[in-house]
Amino acid sequence: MSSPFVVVDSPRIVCVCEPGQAVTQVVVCGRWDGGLRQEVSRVLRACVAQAPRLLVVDLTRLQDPPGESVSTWLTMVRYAMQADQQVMVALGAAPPAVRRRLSTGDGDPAVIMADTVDAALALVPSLNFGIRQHHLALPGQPAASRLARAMVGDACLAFDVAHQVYPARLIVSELVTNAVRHTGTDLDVWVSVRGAALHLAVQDRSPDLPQLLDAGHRHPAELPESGMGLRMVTAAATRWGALPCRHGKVVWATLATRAGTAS
Amino acid sequence: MTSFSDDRARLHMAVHTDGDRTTLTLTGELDLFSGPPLTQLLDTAMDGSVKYLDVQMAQVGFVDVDGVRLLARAYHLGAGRGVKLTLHDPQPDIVWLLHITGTALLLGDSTAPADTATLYPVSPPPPVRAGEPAKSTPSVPRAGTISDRDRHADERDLRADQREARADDRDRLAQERDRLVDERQRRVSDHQRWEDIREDVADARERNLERRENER
Repeated sequence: MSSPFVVVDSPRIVCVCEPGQAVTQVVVCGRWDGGLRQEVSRVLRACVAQAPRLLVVDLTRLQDPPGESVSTWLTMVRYAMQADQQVMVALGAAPPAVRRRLSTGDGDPAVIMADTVDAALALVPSLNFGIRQHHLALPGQPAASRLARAMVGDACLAFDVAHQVYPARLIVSELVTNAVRHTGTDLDVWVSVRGAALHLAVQDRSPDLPQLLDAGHRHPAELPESGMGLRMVTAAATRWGALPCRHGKVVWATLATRAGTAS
Repeated sequence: MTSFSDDRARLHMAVHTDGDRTTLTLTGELDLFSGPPLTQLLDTAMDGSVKYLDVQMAQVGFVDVDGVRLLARAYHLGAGRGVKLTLHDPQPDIVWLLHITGTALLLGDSTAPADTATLYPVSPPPPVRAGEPAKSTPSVPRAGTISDRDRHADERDLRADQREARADDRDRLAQERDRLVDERQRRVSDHQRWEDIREDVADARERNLERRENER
């Protein structure tokens, strides 16, 4: 069983996922307060669940002169390192007080800090080892789901996770069908192995979240017709969710790479 | 024997009628886009001239949620016209999908025991052994075995179906409740982990401050 991790952009937090690079960037804006702290915590947990290799937190527009947000960033770094799939976190352009308080050490895990967001993103090529990933670009047309299924089946065999062929094909097929039906835009499908997880991602060019994400929540009584897809993905995937990306959104799901283990 | 095919969608259909029973053999993959010709065919096949429509699924390698929806609609359409639609010999993954989507009644009473919920808990589909993506042995469609079944048996079937449908509904709602509870727990545990770390961080900071105070 899994729970969806859905992130919607808000005025104070903008999230940009790059599924092909396994990098997610989170921009935090405005004055630091209790409300922003809670919102940041929730979004960062959802971003870590998606299992990127690198999570860049852009603090260029954060207003926090006393550096009160420090404990949240420290918490985030530890949380990400202890996640099922370790996630590296980099803070970009943190306010001076935040940098000062973070650099005093205090026996905390090393926080990666970069002067600018670009410098933080430049870390990506050095992380590029050992990632096994298949990518398929598709037009938003009816045949897309069948092609995506074939690609996912091949990827599962190549990645030695043959026992997940069926759920992986089912999930990707469902996500692609939904994208074709609701957006009709071009699509990208990624299948990768990230630690102990088989990672599936479908990106389309529309920022609207799929209905799939809402149906089961709003009308649990109106089954069987509505929410069937949601129920299936929820039952089949270890975790799943949706994140905004530069052009559109990505809907992702993970499956355990080893038989009989639920990560 | 009439054959239909749609190569683009890779679903092949073959129809065979014998007395009050029609057998429809499907081969390939059933999804949103290969489904429409099947919907049409099912509608035509259930014109009231037969009582049973057996859909032979052994050669179907993939069914998506839209395919299940299509079959479920056909089942109810058939029930309204006095035709009983039953899926035969679907692969284990597809059986799993039928249970997870609350449509196990399509399997009929032969393959769906009453306590389906315990037999097929909400868990990932059964594992497939490597190098065995699809079954290759076609099974013989059952035909004519129950052709002499009398009206009373039909009525009994109908009542059993209704009971099963109600049980299915209950299962579905129970599963939905379980899902929501699990979802909440998962969220709570993620949140708890975050809060624990936050406390540790705060403690460490306090200890450091104290240490510095003492050093001064």
